[in-house]
Amino acid sequence: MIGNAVVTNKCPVIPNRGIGKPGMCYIWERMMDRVAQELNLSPIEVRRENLIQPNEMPYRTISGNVYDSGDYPGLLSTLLEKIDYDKLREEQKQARAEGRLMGIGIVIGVEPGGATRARDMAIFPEMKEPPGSGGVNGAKIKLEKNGTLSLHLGSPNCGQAHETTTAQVAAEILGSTPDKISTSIPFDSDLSAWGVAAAQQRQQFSSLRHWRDPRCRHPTARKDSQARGVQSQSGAVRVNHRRQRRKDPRDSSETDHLRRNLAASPTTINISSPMTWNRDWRRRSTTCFLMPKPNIVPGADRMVRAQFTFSAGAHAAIVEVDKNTGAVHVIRYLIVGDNGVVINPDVVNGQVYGSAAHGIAVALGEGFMYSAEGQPLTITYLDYGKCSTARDAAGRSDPPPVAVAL
Amino acid sequence: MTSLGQKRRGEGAAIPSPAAIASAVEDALQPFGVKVCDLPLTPEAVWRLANHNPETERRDFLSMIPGAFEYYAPRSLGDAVKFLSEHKDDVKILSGGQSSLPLMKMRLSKPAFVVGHRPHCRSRQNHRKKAIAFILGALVTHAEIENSALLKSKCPPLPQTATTIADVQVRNRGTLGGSIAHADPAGDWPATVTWRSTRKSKSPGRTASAGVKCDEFFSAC
Repeated sequence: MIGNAVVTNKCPVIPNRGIGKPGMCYIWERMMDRVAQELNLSPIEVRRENLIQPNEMPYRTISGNVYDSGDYPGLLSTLLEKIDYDKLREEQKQARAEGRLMGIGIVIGVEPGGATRARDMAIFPEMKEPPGSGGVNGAKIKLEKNGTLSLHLGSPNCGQAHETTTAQVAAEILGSTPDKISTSIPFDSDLSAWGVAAAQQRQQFSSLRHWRDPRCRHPTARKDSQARGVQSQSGAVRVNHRRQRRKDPRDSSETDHLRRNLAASPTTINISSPMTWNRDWRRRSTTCFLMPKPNIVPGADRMVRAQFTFSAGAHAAIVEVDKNTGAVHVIRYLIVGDNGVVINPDVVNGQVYGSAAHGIAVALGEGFMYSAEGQPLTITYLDYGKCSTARDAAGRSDPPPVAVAL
Repeated sequence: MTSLGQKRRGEGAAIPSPAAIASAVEDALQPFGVKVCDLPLTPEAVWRLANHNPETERRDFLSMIPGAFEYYAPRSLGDAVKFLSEHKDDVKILSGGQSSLPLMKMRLSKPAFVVGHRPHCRSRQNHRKKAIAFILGALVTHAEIENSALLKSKCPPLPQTATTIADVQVRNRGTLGGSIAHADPAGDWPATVTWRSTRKSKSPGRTASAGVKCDEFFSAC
């Protein structure tokens, strides 16, 4: 294989979402198409032949990353079945006979996750142990006097619905219901646990891992001595697993009361209970869970492992091209995804719709454009997205009809 | 790997979708036997694919640097005037370069010769009060006008105009004379200097000291 590195004085990468991965996927998937064209094979067969098989999971790539799980041939089959691929090819023949330019694109790609620490270390290589930023995320759980729970999350939400999903998980683990949980993101290191960036994988990985730890469970969930790990301090349910084996008689009545209350009816906590809320509320504890240490600088073995989970999606795009105007109309778009365990399907669907719109816009309209003379043509916001989702949002053309199947 | 079995998915659909669209468009254009290589697939790009074979079209990508030119550094004003009259239309005078250089970099202007008159040509004059008129040398920069206490007190429209020009870096380099000679209708100086229709000196020919009225000067441009 021969690789060429090209230097340009023009802006080389444009996708505003996916940090480099759309470009990689583009090369891989277009290579599959080229191979199919050269060998006169079906693009589906070439992909099937090259996909990692489920029985090879976890699969170690030649560069050292480990794909944790996934059934890629299964995703592809499901996609083809749902979109009725054979029938589409028949329709395409008919369209061509009528002079219409209809095209079908089938691709499959993964999204790596859990890369945050790797990214921190890439940005700050001198940082041997990441401090409280990036790879660290936390949440504080507080039992309010009216019996509801407050979650103070460490990372802000920028559209990923952290409040919804964390409340769901906390409710399940702590034996409550989401409507009894208010979630806030104070974005204030004095009020919330450490957390910096908003990326969803961090929120989920770090925080949920934290809560799933048996020592973090609510007394109602664990009826053994480990319930001592939960302390009631000035109305706050705080997790302190370091203290769990050190019996503190001062807390026993309070904790027992709390346990009884919650055990009796997890959804209706008696707010008139004579709990005392005068403990030293300054006592705090930190539970730290980390992803495996990433390996981003290749050592002697030249191996790199920077990501830890790999979700996958098989995409089918059906387009029609207007020969006279060059306009591309997306007629259908179907995504079949391996999303891992889904906490909230609406949230996942929303994100998949949104990111698909991003990617389709990248393909159809986004880019730093230059004239043949090298003059930049996209120098203001007026010049961007001439035929992309920006126009869709303005209602001047139909948004791509994206359908999602989980 | 994760406690719940959850995976990162948020950006997932943004990753394969550009390839899916490109693959579908290439498939749609299969009757033309063209290959989709570049994104974005704007209507223009797709139209070119469907109506031309881009691989047979020569791509004329030029860099963002000016075309080749010869630089001439005159020793005196007379020398400069002589050179200008010899080359006439194929020459550009470089003053602060804040208008002419961007045009040359964008290849909108491709002079064969560039005459620099800074610092070789000693026509620069600092502004000074003389009777009831101000004499501003051609190479007085916008910044000098902007910061002149004398002009601020005696002729505020000039510093006010200078303040509105581009940014500090441009004002430090760009000159009044260059701006007027460039005579961009969208420029800041033409309107202000035409306002009083004072006599401006213009030296394209040998009559270097002849006075020209601003409106006449701009009409002739």
